Amino acid sequence: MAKGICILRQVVDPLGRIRVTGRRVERDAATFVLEPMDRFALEQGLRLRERGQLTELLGLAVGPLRTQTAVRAGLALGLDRGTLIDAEYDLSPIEAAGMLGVEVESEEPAVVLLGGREGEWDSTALGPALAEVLGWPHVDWVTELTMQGDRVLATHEGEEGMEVLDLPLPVVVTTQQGVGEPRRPSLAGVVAAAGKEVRMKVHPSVGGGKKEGGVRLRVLSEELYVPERLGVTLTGDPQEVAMELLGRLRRDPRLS
Amino acid sequence: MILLVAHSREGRLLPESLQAITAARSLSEAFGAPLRAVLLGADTVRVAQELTQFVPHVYVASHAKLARFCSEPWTAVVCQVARASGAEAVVIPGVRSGLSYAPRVAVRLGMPLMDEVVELRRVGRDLSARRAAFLARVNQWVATQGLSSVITTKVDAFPEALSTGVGKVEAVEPRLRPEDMRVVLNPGFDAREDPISRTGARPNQGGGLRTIVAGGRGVGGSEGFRRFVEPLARALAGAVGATRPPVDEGWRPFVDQIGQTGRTVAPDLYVALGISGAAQHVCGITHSRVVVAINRDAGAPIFRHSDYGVVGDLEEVVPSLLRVIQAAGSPFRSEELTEAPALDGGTEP
Repeated sequence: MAKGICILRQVVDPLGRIRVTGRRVERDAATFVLEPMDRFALEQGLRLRERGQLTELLGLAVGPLRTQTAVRAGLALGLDRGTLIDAEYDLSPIEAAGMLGVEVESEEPAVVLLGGREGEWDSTALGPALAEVLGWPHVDWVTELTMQGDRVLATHEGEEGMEVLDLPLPVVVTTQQGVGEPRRPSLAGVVAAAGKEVRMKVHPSVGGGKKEGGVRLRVLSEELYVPERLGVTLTGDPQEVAMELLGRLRRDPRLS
Repeated sequence: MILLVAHSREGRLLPESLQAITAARSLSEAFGAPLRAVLLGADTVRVAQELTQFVPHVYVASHAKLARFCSEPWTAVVCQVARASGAEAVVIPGVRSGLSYAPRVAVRLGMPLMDEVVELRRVGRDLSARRAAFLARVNQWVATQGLSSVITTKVDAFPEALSTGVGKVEAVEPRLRPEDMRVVLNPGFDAREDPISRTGARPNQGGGLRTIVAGGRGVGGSEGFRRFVEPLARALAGAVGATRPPVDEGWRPFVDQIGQTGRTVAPDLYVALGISGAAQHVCGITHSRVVVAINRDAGAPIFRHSDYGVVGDLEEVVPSLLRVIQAAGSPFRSEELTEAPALDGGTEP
């Protein structure tokens, strides 16, 4: 009975507009989506279950109440059940790992899956931090995963090229994009998800307002970064456009 | 004390290690804390020598099991040295391997993690850092209490450090427990073989006027990379990059990939061919100095992120560009051509 857990992160829609008020990104008016990179991990999990290598696949999230919609999105794609740990929104990956770790331990899964990089903190830290909290091995940038008995073989995109890692279960796996296009929810899936329960958990360390694990990282300020671009558009005869482009690059003071 | 972890490849420090040294030195000055470095590996003599030119005190942890990078033994040894030396902050280059174990070090040492910082500042008694968030659309300042933190430095955010003299080397005996060695790298390969399938060149190495020519789905296939992306990269003395779809399709190796799940680059000139401009790609190029986009689709989002956008077919625009560059003798002024570095990416052997 091998169980898998998919971590579901809710992020501000990467395609949507971002507003900043009071030196913080405005979250009340933002649209949120399930982190696109976590969808690749979820796809990997669903395939493992379809191949019979996992018998149950759960969704686990940490965040404010609105994060429920991310868990529901996972349920609509085929997760068996979902849990949300109620917490404030700007947890650092290290803090989130501490809170997720407690819940993961109680479920005793063989594998925890999540996307390689999350686009709100712009960070790869959650996977390895969670593995450390659990005392488990971790493999990142995985494009292929096969479970064999009590071990797992993972193909990973390392700094210099593809490598294969052989790890003992239980294990934390962070996935690369492109392990196959993530599936879209079916109508039947959405209907079924409405009947599935999202279990709410309150982390013991949240009640008192203090986090365990020593010093907290504080976010001081956030401001929009918009690189100034000239936005010049060139159209017309290719030869003339090419001459014009090269001329402009030569005269561009930023390239001299 | 500030502990820098040096990463190397083939007997040389990585440029990203030299960048991290710059960041660590600035911390050392701001907090009046001495800087030391640790080097891990199996064959460390040459790199240790090189490292002492930048850092006055170098710990060397040499062990056969450290010949190849693996996050668990690395975590164990870095924490061992950090504890024994009383490190208040640990600085790690934000390359893929560094990012894969820095969070473990932070959790194990009970320190906050400041990952992929681009600027460090002392504010009162505390350390504050600037980093990118929201797919590089937001600059975020974070702070910790005092100096205590594990820091990874964003690739290409800090200049490479200059050599300062000759420091000393102190050997450390790595203590590796069985649980640090439970991951088997490349099972079935013996030590003499190279288990890594190296199929590509890395973009954007070296100094000078740095150019990257990258292709997206609109390039049409590996043939399109050969016909458009590679020749233009050669003509501009640049390297080749790609978005994720060409990597997924097997047109390019993933080491060429730029974006959220690939590399972040900051060249002087970035040329995007057939790239639509998805947020997951654009976040990897926002610090490029000048961005040129060539795309058939006038509505492609990439044009909103470009200085110069050419709406046109690669079949027509790229050959024209190549002719114009060839006629001019060089892409830019001729004196720049003599200074242009030989980049190791982008050209077929």
